[in-house]
Amino acid sequence: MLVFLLLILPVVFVLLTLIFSDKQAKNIALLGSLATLGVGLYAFYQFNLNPTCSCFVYHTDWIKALSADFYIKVDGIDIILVLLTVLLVPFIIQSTAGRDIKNPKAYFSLILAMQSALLGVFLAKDALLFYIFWELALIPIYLISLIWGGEGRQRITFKFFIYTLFGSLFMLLAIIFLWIHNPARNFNIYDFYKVGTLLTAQQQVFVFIAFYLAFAIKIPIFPLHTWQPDTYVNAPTQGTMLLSGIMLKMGAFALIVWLIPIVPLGWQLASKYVIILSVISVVYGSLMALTQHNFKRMLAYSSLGHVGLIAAGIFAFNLQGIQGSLYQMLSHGINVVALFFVCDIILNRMKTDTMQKLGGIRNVSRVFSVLFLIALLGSVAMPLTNGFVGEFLLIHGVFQYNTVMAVFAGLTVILGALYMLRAYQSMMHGETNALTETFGEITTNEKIVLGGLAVLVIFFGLFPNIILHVSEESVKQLIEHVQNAAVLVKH
Amino acid sequence: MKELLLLSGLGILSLIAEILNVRKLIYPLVIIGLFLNIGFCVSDFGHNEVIYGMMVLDKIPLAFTILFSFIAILWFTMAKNYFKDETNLSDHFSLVLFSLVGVFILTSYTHMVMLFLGVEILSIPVYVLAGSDKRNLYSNEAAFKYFLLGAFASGFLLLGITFVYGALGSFNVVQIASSAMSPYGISQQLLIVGFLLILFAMAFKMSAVPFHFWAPDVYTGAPTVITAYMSTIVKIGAIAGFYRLFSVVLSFYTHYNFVLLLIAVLTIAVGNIIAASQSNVKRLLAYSSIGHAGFIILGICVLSASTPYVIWYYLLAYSLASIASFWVLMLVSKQKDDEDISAFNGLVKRSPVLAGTMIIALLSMAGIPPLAGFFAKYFILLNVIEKGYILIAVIAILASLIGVYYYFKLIIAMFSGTAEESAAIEVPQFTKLVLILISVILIVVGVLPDFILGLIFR
Repeated sequence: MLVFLLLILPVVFVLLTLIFSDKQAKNIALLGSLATLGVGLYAFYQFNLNPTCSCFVYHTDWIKALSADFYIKVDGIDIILVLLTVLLVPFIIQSTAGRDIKNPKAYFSLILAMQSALLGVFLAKDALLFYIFWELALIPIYLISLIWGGEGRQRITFKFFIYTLFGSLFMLLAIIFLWIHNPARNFNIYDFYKVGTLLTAQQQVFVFIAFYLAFAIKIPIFPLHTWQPDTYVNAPTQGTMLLSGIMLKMGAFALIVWLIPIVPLGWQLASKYVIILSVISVVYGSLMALTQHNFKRMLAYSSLGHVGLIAAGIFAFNLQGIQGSLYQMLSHGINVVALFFVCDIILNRMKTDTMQKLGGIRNVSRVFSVLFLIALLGSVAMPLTNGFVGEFLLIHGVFQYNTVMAVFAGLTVILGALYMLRAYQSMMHGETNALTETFGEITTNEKIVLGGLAVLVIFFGLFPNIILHVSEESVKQLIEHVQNAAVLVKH
Repeated sequence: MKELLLLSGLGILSLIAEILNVRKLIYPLVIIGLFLNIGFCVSDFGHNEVIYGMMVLDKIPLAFTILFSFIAILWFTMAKNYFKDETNLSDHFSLVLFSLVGVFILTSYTHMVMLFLGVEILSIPVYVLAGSDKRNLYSNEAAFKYFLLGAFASGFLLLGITFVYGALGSFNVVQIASSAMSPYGISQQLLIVGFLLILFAMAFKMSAVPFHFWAPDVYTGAPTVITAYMSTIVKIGAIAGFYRLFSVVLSFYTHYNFVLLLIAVLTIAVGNIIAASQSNVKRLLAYSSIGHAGFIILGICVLSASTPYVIWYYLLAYSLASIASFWVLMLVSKQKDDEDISAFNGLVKRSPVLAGTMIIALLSMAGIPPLAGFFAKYFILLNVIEKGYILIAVIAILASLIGVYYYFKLIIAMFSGTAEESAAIEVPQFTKLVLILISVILIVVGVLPDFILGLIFR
């Protein structure tokens, strides 16, 4: 039941947010997200004590005609994504404090609805349910970007929507295909894992491509990324945080759980191509980030590079790669939300995020510059920050797969340090100009949000085992399954 | 039998009401009558009543009757306000009620003559209704076009029925099916031509490509209220009739199946592609309804045990969304006398209820989960892939992606627009309530498809 509570709590608070007045909307939403955080942390704690507790499974009939079940379950892999979601949403909601938001009731209820859908995606163990949540997560973020977005939002969000829907429809096709080839005739993920061994190589490649399209668009991976920079830049800050902090992890998570174990042979045949694409993503994203003048756009491209590395680590599919990707999903979520919040603070005060126009903010606002630096160091994988653990494991994983790939994938760290520090330098250091003189100290609220995120950056940098330890068992099982299944198909 | 008597009786009653000058009573009487009709159907479940060897009321016709009666209730509620100012309310209502008799016959016939009668009883009132906006030139054009082409189609149908009779010597669909199985002493040419003619006539009635050319003009020309009727109940009738014919007779012949599959794929593709380039909302919805008809025909082509449920579910999802969207269109276009997409600008601010209903209806038609339209498409795709037509499934999916494109054009328009355009739209409380009800049904049907199908088909 605990797992069901996790899913339903945000929905309850959506209704509460809608009932109460506009003034109260933010507080109720924050309360809801904190309540969910509490449940999530308790679940995480409980999972450490007793991973097989029955409170982590909720299984009931849903559509009998198709034997689709409402089946949600916490396991060692999705608990990390759940942790990420429940951790970030309170920060995302609190980041609106002191900002003027039109129609706050709708805004916050959409954010909470989004949280529920995201948790559903991570927890679902039934393919049809997974698909429903996957699509459901798209609608709130689409509306958030459409209604509260910036200039030209109609065209940009439209492109985003069509792009992602295009991918998911192919995923639907693959799910139906698997269902038909499933002797048990259900959508249970564990039965899907068995189907993988029954399909021929050609069928596996077909399913692989169909799933890959859906997931690679969401992540996004080169060359399916063209919706991403515009959407990130254009969406309101909280929308961007949801998109980059949590939503793109849906794709990466699905690669680990829904793609490779289901068609192991398809993965074996395709892995070298998809890894190359992921590495191209890394290099392309980092190089594009280097050439940007706007901070927000630079962050969008840097995100592309970071998730490219995550994808490469997943496709290598060894213990270090998967563990690293899980850890990096958590770290990247925290870092990117912190950095987009930094960007929001700057935009809110200076009305511009063109880096050349800014400078010397450090002289005006000491606290801000320190907190910004911590988030930034996390992002460039400085040892003792969370980014280091993830990227180290990821590069280690890719290295085992192929040395050349690892060299190129490692560029993300070097180039990342280059563009991030350069951005910091041009905005925070140097002479304070007429514009940045008015910057002032940041408000208490902003300090709380940014400070909280900075604490998380260091905390997860110092104690990575809290997370790695939880997922290790599940990851090992998954890898073993893939290796066995791939051998089975061959003979 | 009592359903047939009830529907005809209601039609006559509404004519009498005009004579007795009690027009106010028509609407409540009709609604009560239709609810009674649903009650009759529910109580008849499992009886398999045979009516003079001409019609059989088994599970599937009854389910379709429940469906169209329910949609008719919504339609009459929609039409009540439209005809409020006109004196000829009862004429319209009785015409619609008579055409409902035709729909009922189409759902349950077992005799080819009843098929023809059903099609004619359904169509003739609709020819008149299409032209009911007398002073509007386009409405006249619509009626004339629909009548001329429809008459041709009816001719084809009759000719086809005669040819089949000539070849097999029977009008009964079950007998036709069984005697067509034995190839001895039968003129195959006559049979093939006969069936093809019937197929084409039914394709015309379902507005399937390449027999669809009448549909956009007629849908656009006719008053919106009538268009809503044509795109929901008339379509249910045509499809129910076609399903009966196909499931009993045509499915024995694989070569018709190929023709039909081709028609289905063309209908899906052409309907959606042309809809994407429309700027008139009514025309856009007309083309999109062609696309939906294609999906249903595709569902019929890949006949399996679940097909009646699948089609029923699709028709439910589609009709609800369709009636809601035409209703909103009617209210929106009344304000400015403009049916362009720009008429929807800023609708979210002008009337949140209308906008909300429209968004849910469009999302459902676009097939976004968890709304009803998603499972409708899903069930059909499942059957298609099960038969191994993966390429067709891919085409259908790409076409529905195009569908998303034009439905979202409309949704985006509702969120855009400047402040001066935002004159609030007055909507009666009762209308709001019904529209919200439709939205809720669309969500419930989508989230719990099992519940609805279990409720009807038990």
